[in-house]
Amino acid sequence: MTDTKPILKADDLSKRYEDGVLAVDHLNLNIYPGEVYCLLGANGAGKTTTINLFLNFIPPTTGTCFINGIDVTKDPLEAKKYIAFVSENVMLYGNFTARQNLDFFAKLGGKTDLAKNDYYQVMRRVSLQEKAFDQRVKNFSKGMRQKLGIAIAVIKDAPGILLDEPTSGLDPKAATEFLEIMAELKKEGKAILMSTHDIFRAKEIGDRVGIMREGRLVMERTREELQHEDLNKIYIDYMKSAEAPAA
Amino acid sequence: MIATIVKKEVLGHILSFRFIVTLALLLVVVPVTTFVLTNDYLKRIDDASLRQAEIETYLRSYAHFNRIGNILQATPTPIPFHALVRGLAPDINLGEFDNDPLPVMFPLVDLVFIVTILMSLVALIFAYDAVSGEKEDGTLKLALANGLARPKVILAKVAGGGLTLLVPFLLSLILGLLVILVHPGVDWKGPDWVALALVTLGTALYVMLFYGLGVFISSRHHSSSASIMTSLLVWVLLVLVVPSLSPYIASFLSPTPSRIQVDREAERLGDTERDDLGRKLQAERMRELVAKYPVLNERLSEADKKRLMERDPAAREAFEAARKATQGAWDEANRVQGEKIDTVRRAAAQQEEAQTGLARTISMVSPLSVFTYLATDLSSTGLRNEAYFGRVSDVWDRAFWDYAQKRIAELQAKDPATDWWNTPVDMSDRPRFVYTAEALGGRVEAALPGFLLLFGYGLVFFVLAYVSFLKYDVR
Amino acid sequence: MTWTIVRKEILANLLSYKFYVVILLAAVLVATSFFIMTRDYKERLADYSLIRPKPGEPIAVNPPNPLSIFAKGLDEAMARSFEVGPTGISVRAGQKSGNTVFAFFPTPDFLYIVRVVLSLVALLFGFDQVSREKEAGTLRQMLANQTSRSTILIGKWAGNFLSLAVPFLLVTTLGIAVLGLDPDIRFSSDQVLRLGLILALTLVYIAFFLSLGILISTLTRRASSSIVILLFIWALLVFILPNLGTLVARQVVDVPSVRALSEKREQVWTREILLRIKGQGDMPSHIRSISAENDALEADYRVKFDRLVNLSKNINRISPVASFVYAVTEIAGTGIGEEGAFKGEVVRYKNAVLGKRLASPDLKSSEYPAFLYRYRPLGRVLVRGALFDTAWLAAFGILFFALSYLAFVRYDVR
Repeated sequence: MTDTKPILKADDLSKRYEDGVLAVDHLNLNIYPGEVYCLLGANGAGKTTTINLFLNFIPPTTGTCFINGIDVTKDPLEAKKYIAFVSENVMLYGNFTARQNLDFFAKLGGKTDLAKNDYYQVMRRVSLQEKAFDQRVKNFSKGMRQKLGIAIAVIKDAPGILLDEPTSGLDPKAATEFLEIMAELKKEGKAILMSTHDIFRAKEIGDRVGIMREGRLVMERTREELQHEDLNKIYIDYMKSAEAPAA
Repeated sequence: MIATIVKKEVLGHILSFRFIVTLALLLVVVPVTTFVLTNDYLKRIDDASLRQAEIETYLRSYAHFNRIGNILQATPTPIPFHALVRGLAPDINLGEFDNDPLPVMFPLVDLVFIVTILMSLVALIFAYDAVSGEKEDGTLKLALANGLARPKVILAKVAGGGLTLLVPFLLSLILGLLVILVHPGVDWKGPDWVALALVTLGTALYVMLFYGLGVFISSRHHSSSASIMTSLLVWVLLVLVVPSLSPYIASFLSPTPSRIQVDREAERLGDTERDDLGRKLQAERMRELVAKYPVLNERLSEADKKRLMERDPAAREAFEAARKATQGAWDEANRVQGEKIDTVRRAAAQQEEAQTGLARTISMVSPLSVFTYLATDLSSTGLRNEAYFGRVSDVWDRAFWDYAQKRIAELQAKDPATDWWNTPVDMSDRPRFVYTAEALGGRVEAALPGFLLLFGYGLVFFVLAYVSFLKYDVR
Repeated sequence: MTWTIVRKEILANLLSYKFYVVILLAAVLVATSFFIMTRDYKERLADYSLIRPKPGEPIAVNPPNPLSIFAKGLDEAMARSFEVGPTGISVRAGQKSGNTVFAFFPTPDFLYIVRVVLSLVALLFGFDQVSREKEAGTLRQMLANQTSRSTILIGKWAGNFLSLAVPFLLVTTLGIAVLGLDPDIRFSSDQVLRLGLILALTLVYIAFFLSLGILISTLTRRASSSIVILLFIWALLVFILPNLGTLVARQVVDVPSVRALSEKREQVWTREILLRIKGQGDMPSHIRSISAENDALEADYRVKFDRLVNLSKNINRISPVASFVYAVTEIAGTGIGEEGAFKGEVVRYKNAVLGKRLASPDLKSSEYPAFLYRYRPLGRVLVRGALFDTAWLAAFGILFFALSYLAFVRYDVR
């Protein structure tokens, strides 16, 4: 796998906020096509900051993010062509129907020649109920909105996908459905970076799992390595050792 | 318990961004306005004394009773309250060639303006999320889960919010009054202060009323963004639209003939129609006389007439009678037509009065108008004062007329040969018009219904807010 | 790409409750204002037909201006009758009614509705443009695509401007079309052009407030703070600054009160008449001196008053709202500049009439020239300030938009 180019690459990435907090500390990441990378960590460990850096929502203090080899800070608009984003809690446009939301974001994603059926197909693929297709998003449950958010990512058909806590607040059935879609996208060769709290799903879907603490990537395991280890225990241990110096 | 919630409301408002902004804005706008208005008042005092001096200079050389009415006219002098409340602008002056168009384009800012427009807006800005916002934050649920009775919550909300709102206003007003107090030229007397206290009371009612309205709207909505939208719409209608539309609606419902039309009609009655009537009456009376004195039938030149009268006492009597008849006929025509004119003018005045009354009533749908009338009446700058000024200037007019008659009679007794109407006279002992504002009692009496109305509106809004809140779905 | 966002904004507006309420309100108010002001205009027209001078009468009357339906301004002062009597001008028909309530509240003409209500509506369209999208997470979602921030901002601006301007123009043009059907109201082609300019100016005004709304929404994190700040700015711009400016100018420039002026005229008149009665000099010379002294008074007052007007205009222009009012009233021909020009014409006419009268042996003449006031041509009105005011208003709009761009580029979308 290493002979191909990484789609998502963080090179010595650091972010220090104005208030002095070092949110990301010399992070190096390479995510290749067909690979799912799960970032684990407590609140404030720097997972979301990493994703924000990839999206150029904030400038890095040092280091660079590359998407498909393009420097995100230098040419953000070009870089974003190769990436889709599913945010943690997207409300979308409440007065629009699911299809109208999808249509708008698909167009922003550069898909300007889609027909009605294409939208329906994508929504079916993320297993959104048929009757919700032309309903206003205002009354959607969290799970339905999340599915629509994934549909927006799917329809863009970008080689890289960033997901920020995609399963938080989903019921178990919805979360399982979500994992199925991830598996499919992986099969299609997408490079997926996903931040999560969900250790079990990370173990299930992740080709590699990284644990972040205070901005540093303190541990990284491959799927093979994890088959012999208890990820839950590792995670708790790392979290404990984080508290230890402070105590 | 209720004290706890009131305290929480007050604190919540005082620490809020909008409170700071309101305070800052009012602390700038009110003193600046009073400063500017005070200077303007002093300027107008100067202007008034300058005008008085010009009149005195003029009178030294040209004080003739004949034309003096054009020069000596009762004019209202600026009153110290103008440093706060301007009321009806006197400068528009459409009846004369000279007019000042600036106030037509941009009405002046004064205390009434600040209260009616700014404070009502501020009250709604404070109130729009009183209920809906707490619901969104979940704090309402929390408070009610603790066994707080709803009536207490809403009471505390209105009381706490309304009281907090008055703080920035009162602070800025005090600052404004300091500006007035340090100006040596402005002399506020006891009644002025009492009137100001009453205007402030009216302001408190007005602001509370809008706060109650805001809370009512807030408790009809479940999102504060919808609540502010409705609040603003209601505000636009009540404050900006209804008062402006009211005189037009009244003129639609209760039309009056235009003044031009009335003038034309009066002119016709006093001119052509009077001439017709006069000629008719004259002819009638002459016919009787001709029967009696045939000499009148002869066509004689004036010179012949004169000669005949000198010669013949009978003819003299005839011509004398004819002159009297003519005079009588025209006097009669003048009287009849004068009455007609009076009737027309009185009818028009009555219609105008009816229309004004109707416009006033319609406009009172808006608390803004109620407060405006109340404040201008209390400060002697409004409609009531115009009527009062009309009355006192009438009194002075009559006094001056009596004086003129008396002086002329005296002068003629001394020297009957001179035409005293057109000879300069020393008039330094004439009655002078000194304008003093109406006594406070009358003004307060006039403002009383306004107070009641403001209170009534406030009560209605509060009850509506109360009922809506009791039924409010806090989920 | 921009067009996608424009369409989304329009669709979002079309699907919202706010849009319909606000547009309905604006439409109802514009329609009511047209109805009322048309009636007012027709009444004044009827009055005009009563006082309209017969051929040869030395009376200067200007018919009411049909554009006063949109911006009444000083039209009432300009439609008075100025009768040139034996010694000077006597003014008649100042006030058409004795209803004093008119004096208390502003005239609800189109200009007022636009100035006060439409500006507020434009702010309501703008105030939560950024914060709402941020709260809904859609801002991040949009920016995760190859959409630049400037595209989003321009799209938002244009989308909201169109959703505001199109229904407004529809309602207004419909109203104007209804007016056009009325046989009593006739617009000349020049006036139609002026009306078009006023509508265009109104769009610039809406754009100004929309830009202001978007600017504040990019500078604040929460929609609730945005609306509070905007309402205060609005009150300052629309009400306080323009109205206070006039008073401040009066502090600096000394202008005699109009009452002082009227009293002076009376004094001149009575003095000359009394001198005549006493037998000093002949009537024509007295008439001449009354006229000359009055003209001197007027000229002196004009100079001072113009200084006052210029200063207060410049102070008021701190608020572009004042610029808008100046530009619209001047273009409509009901503004301060037009009124000044009109009065100058009246004085000139008076002098012509008096000249003719004095030239005749018995101080009487049966044939006087008719008075006809020609409004200043549009080109001159524009050069004399209206163009500047328009540019000033537009400049502020552009400035605010540019500032909101700068703020939005730095906006923290997290």
